[in-house]
Amino acid sequence: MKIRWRILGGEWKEVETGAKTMKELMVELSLSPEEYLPSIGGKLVTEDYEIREGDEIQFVPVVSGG
Amino acid sequence: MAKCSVCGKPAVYTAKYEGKSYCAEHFLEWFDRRVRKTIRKYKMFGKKEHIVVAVSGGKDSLAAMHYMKKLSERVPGWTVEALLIDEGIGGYRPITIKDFKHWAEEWDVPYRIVSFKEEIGATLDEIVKIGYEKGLPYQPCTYCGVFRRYLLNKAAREMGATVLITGHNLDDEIQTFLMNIMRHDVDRLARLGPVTGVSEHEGFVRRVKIFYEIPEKEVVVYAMINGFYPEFVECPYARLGFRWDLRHYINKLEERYPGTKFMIEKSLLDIMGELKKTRGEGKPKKCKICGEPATGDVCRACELRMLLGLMEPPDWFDVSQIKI
Repeated sequence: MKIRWRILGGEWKEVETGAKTMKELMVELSLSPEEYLPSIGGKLVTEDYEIREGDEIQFVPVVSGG
Repeated sequence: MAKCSVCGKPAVYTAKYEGKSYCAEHFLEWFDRRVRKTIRKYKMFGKKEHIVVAVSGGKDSLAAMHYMKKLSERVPGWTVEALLIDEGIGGYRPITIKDFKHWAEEWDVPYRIVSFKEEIGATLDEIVKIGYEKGLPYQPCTYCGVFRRYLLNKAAREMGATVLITGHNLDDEIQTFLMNIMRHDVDRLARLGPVTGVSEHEGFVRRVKIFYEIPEKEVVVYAMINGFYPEFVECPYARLGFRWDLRHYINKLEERYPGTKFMIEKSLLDIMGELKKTRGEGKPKKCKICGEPATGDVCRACELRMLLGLMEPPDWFDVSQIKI
């Protein structure tokens, strides 16, 4: 299925994914759950969130640079 | 989707190290309970305090300002003010200053901004350039850390602070701990901890870290739920520091072995307790040049200023004596 994602403040990207859950998606995108928090529509979701077609996911960076 | 361990509503966060999940409402309750516990455990505040929060405009310090403002509304003897140090980092600090001012005004927190340019004589960008030209062996974070700590203490004291709060969280503390270990800087270890600057020196403002036992990730959740997570901007010097690499290694470990960060901090506290007996903060002296607290005759900020040529050394002082 197709989803859109970006790191907060970055560019939106569209990807075709086989991931069923947020956890699997983050592994696919090489994003550490210690360093990025997934959110949809401005609300945080947990790693077991089931990915749906057309989801727009923003990853909030935990590590502040400075 | 994980359910809140308290009420069963959809969760926004799972704390893997304790195997529990929380909805927004119960996350905030849990967060507040733990910060208040930290405050009590380390006896951070008295009944009457003028609290100055050191704020950069990043999420940790904004969270500290937000939290303290709310908490102080319940304590009649407390007043809260914010202090921002403008290091002069092009493309970065102006953005976070804008965020800071916005929220300070929104939450009705009076503030003061103090700049490197005015107080030290040059912006951090200029300092880094001078240091490079003079062949000094320091990373930008070294200058920034020394001058920022120096100005925070000085300005907080001038503001009449009885206590200075920083937004340091669990991750920051254990990174500093491990950095000092890896650099064999044991004396500096003894100066870590949730409350510092408790010495007999009149020039020292006591410093406390209210988020001492809160992982960085949970400070972000707090900021997100409260709607003030700032625009993400990164300090252009951040990736040059040792800390940058170290934090990723620690995060990898935490991912594989949840609870590692807390265990490192517990070890730090035990080790520090022992170290303080033999290598404690000692009685600080007064810098013979500027009068600010110092461990030797001259404080580190004055030493760096002389090395950078931002200050003329006094007749009695030999710059070549400075330990690089």
